[in-house]
Amino acid sequence: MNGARRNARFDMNASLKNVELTVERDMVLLRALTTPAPSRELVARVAAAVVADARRRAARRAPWRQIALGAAAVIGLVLALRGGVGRVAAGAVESDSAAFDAWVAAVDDSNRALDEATWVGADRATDGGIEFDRALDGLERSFRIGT
Amino acid sequence: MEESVVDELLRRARRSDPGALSVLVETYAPRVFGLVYRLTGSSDAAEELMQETFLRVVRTLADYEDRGRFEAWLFRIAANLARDHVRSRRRRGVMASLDRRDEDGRAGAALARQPAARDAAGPLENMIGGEAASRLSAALAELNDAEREIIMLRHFSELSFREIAGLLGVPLGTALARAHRALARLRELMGQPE
Repeated sequence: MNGARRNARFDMNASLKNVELTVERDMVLLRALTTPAPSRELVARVAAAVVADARRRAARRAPWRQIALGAAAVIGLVLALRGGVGRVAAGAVESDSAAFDAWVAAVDDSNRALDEATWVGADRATDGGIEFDRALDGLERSFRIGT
Repeated sequence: MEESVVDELLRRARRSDPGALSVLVETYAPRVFGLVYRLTGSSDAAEELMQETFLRVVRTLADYEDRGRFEAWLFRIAANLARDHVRSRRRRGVMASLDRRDEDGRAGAALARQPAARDAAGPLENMIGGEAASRLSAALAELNDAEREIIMLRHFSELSFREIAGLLGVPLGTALARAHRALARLRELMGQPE
């Protein structure tokens, strides 16, 4: 079945090829055909019209191109600024973070200093309290001896 | 013209390069003019349609990107414009054959624009050739539009019948049958044996 179809297609192609060859051969009939050629002035006029039209269209496109370029520049600027602001914000955070760290360190130092001072005082107070307790004990003993 | 040369011209023409645009017009103008003249039968219409063809080609150059041969595209635009022109003329009721009016009424203008090859022939050859050409022109005018269109496309473009069939949107067999019928009719009208 496929073979028959293939053969039919081959026959059809061969017959088309034959018709094409016959038609191409018969086209010789048109050899005598003369057609007015366009004058040089006409060709030059058409060429000038085509060039002028292309320039006009290019010029019409130009403002749009400028607008498009302007818009692209604005968008670029906005994106750059946004990126810059982001970077500035990030810098601020980083900067705040450093300041915070410094502040924490300072507080730590301060606390340490305070603790040291306090503990020294407390130690001293404790020592003073012991002294005071000893003094009271001594006074109590002298009263007891006196009585 | 070689395809690579045409491609380079088109690339430059897309950038509105005046030199490339001029070369495109100068290269194809004679054949485009010949085609639209033969399809409309009027020098005035041919002048107008040739300009319109090139304007359309340049305006739509951006769309022409690896779509096959440039000539097929160019001649399709020219043939479509000529077909529209003839239809519009018929709708307006202009039924007279402008071919005859051009060749008789405006013989001086037409002869002044004959191709250089014909001018180079001697007077007798010109007379014989002129007579044959006149009979051929008259016979062509007797064909129907579709028959005339296909053999004129083959005559003026460098396209094969297969490409012309694609351009016209008909099967190759239809295009060949149409051309075969047209040529047989021409021979009959000119009184030539097969």
